Amino acid sequence: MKHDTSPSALPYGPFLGGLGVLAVLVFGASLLIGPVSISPLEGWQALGGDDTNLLTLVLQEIRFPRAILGAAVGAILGLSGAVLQGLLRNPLADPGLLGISASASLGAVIALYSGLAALHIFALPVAALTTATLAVSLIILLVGRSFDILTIILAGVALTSLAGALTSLALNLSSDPFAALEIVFWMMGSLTDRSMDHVFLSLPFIMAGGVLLFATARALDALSLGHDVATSLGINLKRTRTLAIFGTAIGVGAATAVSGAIGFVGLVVPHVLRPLVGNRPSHLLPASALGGAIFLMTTDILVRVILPGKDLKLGVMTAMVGAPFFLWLLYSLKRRAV
Amino acid sequence: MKRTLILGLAAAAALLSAGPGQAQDHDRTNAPKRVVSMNLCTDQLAVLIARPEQIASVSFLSHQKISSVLVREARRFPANRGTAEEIFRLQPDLVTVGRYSAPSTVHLLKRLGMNVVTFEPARDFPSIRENIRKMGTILHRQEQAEKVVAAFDASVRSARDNANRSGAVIGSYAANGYSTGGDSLESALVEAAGFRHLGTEQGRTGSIKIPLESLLAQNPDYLLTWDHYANDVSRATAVIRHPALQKWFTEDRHLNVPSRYWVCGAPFTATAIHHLIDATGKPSS
Repeated sequence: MKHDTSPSALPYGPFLGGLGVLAVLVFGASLLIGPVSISPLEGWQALGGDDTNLLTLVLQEIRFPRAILGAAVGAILGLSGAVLQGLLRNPLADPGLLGISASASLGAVIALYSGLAALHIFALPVAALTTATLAVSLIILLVGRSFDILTIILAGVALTSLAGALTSLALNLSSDPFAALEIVFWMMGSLTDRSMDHVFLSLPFIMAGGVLLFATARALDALSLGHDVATSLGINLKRTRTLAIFGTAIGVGAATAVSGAIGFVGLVVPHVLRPLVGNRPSHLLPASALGGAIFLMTTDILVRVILPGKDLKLGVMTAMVGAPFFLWLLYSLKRRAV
Repeated sequence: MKRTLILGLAAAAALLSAGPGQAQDHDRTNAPKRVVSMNLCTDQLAVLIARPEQIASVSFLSHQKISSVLVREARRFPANRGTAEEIFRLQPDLVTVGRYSAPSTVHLLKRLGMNVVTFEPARDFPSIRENIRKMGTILHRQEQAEKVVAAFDASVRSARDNANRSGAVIGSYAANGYSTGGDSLESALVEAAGFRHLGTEQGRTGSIKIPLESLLAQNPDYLLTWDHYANDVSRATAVIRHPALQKWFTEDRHLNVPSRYWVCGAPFTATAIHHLIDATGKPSS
């Protein structure tokens, strides 16, 4: 994990700028693509309309929150994947694979169906990030300084199935007739028909989580040279770890509370971008946040285009891209180890 | 065997010589005495038609205010949750189920030799009458069933007399964004109230998921939702409280009706038609 310049690295500044421009373009496309067709011109004109204008209402109350959430959720998933991979020095770290998303789902489900979520607007994200905190702490405790790939995968598998089972249990115990059907949402995620309410209750937490995660950048750079080097450079590993735990838990917890568990974003995005930013963690973090946003907004557009009217789940799309990638990664890691 | 035959013959002889009062008594001896209903709709039909002592148990749904019209009446009977073991233990001589009751349970009960009668969900007024009469026949209460049918017909007739003739379109939206198509109980009720039905107009059948923005674009004159969903906190029903829906379908265009009158095709279904007419009859529309 040397972070000088790898042959495929691109000039960092322009590369990041390019990602930014791409994110803005995809955001625009996300506003314009959907069951009700809106041309860019119509969209522009509709911006000034009021609630009696169909296009205005669709843009402001349905497409805009969806695009914002796609960007924010994707960004925090990509970012936390990059941080966890750097911190654990393990290429398989990802909030989805480690069971952090599934645990956050569990918290959200408990809050929703116990009636807790109705008491206060922030009860839902807080419950989700609480269970997410438990999950991240448990994982970091378990995996610790071990570089064993098997440990991290198995810990993630165990945590994911436990959280999934408890989520199903909570939903089955609920008196609500639709609860059992929602298991799919909490495990596969979706941004369909979210509203500005969901943006308000998740975005502050996602941003707070993002700030904490970005604060680990310098330490991750040092850490990529090895534990001992990092310590000798004056890096406080305990602090870095705390930042990563709470940043991931708060950000991913709040994201999952409104979108359900969406897998593989945090795995795929940092891996694709790492060689392009020259293997340098501090450069990878902003790139992964932008890349995650682009990836999730794009898959959310695909979900609308491929099977319109069928409400294809977002997690299905990310898994179809992510799972083969994961297998390829496992294969190449094994080959490298031999 | 011989004894039962002799007893049967004796009973038949007694019946022939006796008047109508005793004929009813005979009917009572043959009528099912331990009826267990596993379905909300057959629960309520049974409650309306059976003699109280005939019913052994009704489904738990009929005890719940949100889904059942006849809560007070149904609560006189113990509730069941529709598992085969539970039903078997009740030793019923007749089990009534809906077409969509858990198939494995129904299959098992039949294998155990239970007398299981399946009811089709009512999709229109003739099938409501058919189900009422079917319940009357299996309970040996045809006379009571005819009374119930007559009351139902009278209520539907009075609704039709007051029907809304504006030609306005009503479309429904339920949990998870499902909207009902034509050829359904819902379209029958909407049309009986004098309206056009969005699903029918669009040639949809069955219940189909419609994205919220498509619903806004289809823009029915009235949006029909059910209180069951609107007052519920789950994620599946959040779409009904979505700000875009609330802003587009302002209060005078949003009919939020009590679900319990819409779940089953039953005599009280006529009340749902009256609700629609009353809700849209306000001067604001």
